[in-house]
Amino acid sequence: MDLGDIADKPFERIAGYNFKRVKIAFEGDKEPRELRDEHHDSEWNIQNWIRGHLVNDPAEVTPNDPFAHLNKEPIPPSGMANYSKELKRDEADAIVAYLSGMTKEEVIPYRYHVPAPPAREPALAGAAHGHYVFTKYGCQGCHGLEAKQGRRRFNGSSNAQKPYDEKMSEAEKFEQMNLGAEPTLPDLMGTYKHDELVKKLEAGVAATEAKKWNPAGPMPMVYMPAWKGKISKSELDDLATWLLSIAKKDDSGF
Amino acid sequence: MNGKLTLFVVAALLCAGFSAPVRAAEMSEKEKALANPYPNDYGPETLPDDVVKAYPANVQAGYKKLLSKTGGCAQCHSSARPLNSRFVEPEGGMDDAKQDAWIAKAKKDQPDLFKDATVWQIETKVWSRYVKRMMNKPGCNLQKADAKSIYEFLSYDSAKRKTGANAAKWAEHRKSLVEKLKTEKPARYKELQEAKDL
Repeated sequence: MDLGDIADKPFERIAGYNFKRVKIAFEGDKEPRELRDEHHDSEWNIQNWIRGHLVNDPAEVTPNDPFAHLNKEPIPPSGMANYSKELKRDEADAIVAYLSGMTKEEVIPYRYHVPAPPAREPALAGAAHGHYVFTKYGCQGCHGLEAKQGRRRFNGSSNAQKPYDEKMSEAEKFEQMNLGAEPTLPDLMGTYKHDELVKKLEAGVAATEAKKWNPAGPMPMVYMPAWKGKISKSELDDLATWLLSIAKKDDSGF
Repeated sequence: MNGKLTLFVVAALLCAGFSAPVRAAEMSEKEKALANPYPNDYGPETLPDDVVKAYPANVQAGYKKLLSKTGGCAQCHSSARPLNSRFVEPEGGMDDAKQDAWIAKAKKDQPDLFKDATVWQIETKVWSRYVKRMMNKPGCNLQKADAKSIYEFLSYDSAKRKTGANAAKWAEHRKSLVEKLKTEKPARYKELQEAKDL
């Protein structure tokens, strides 16, 4: 989605039902608490909606309708990963401020641009530069910090899941769907050659290629974009070099 | 503020969306494969009985596991995909040096095997890499012992059925699959040709 739209998201589109699921600790609060919705002092605002997705598990804030009880088709919970354990509160606030500033010009009629100088690229090469590229393009948003653990991909597949069984209760199915995950890269990297990996990064993995754990459940929302043209060839080369360097030791015996 | 952290959260939001529902056509794994097929997918899903019966017992066991829809390759895609693949792993067992030596000899004795990469992709440990890749895909229920058994079949079968005395027969079969893709899905053929994935 276009994050520029977040700041201008029509308020009516956010259900009070979901606002009630947001818990935030404000200054003076000892514990995170529900938002107040008093007429002249409402905390139900777009900033707290964004903040709520950063300091809570978004799938709990926006559970939607994964078993199609209320809709014709199943709708997965928010596809946003759970960053609440990794983000500090001041970091969450900084993201809220950043996204809030992306509002359209009709809301703030004048915009003064003072472009900052481009960030200086560190003088790195090979795998060290590839590691930098991994963070520069936000790969850890899906593959985890240092690529150590793929993040949740609701109703995708993972090796932590039990095989699908139609007879499972909805609660059991939900638990398994919630265990779907993006690939944990060290598990896979040893099976690629450098040129194959660059090709994979360039092509991405289309959403339609997703394997659903629950065939009747919603399509997994997160997919791997095609990075060709977005990440330069030399950056992709170094990224592939770093990814190959973190491959787990092969103990398969063949 | 940790700039890197902001970047990855923003990138993740870009990939995931906040809460917008996604609706995509429901397709089975087989339908997905046929929507974006490889030449392999047009071939048969089993081998002739007389071919399999001539293989050693452990290789036959690997073949049976490959066909399994509960714990083998066919749980995710048609067995036609590996059985009609252009991949050839050289003879030499698990020994990379022996496989390399096989390739060096084949380049002298069977130069035709290296002329058309759409028919033969001969590479040391190629099946080892691919079977491990599939095994490590999220949600793949392939167990290590079964994966090894499948690898033993694919490795043995690829050298046996696609090279030596069987090379011409294999080339004819594989070329017919490539031609079928070209006729039935010309855009897909072009895409794979450009990506050198044909």
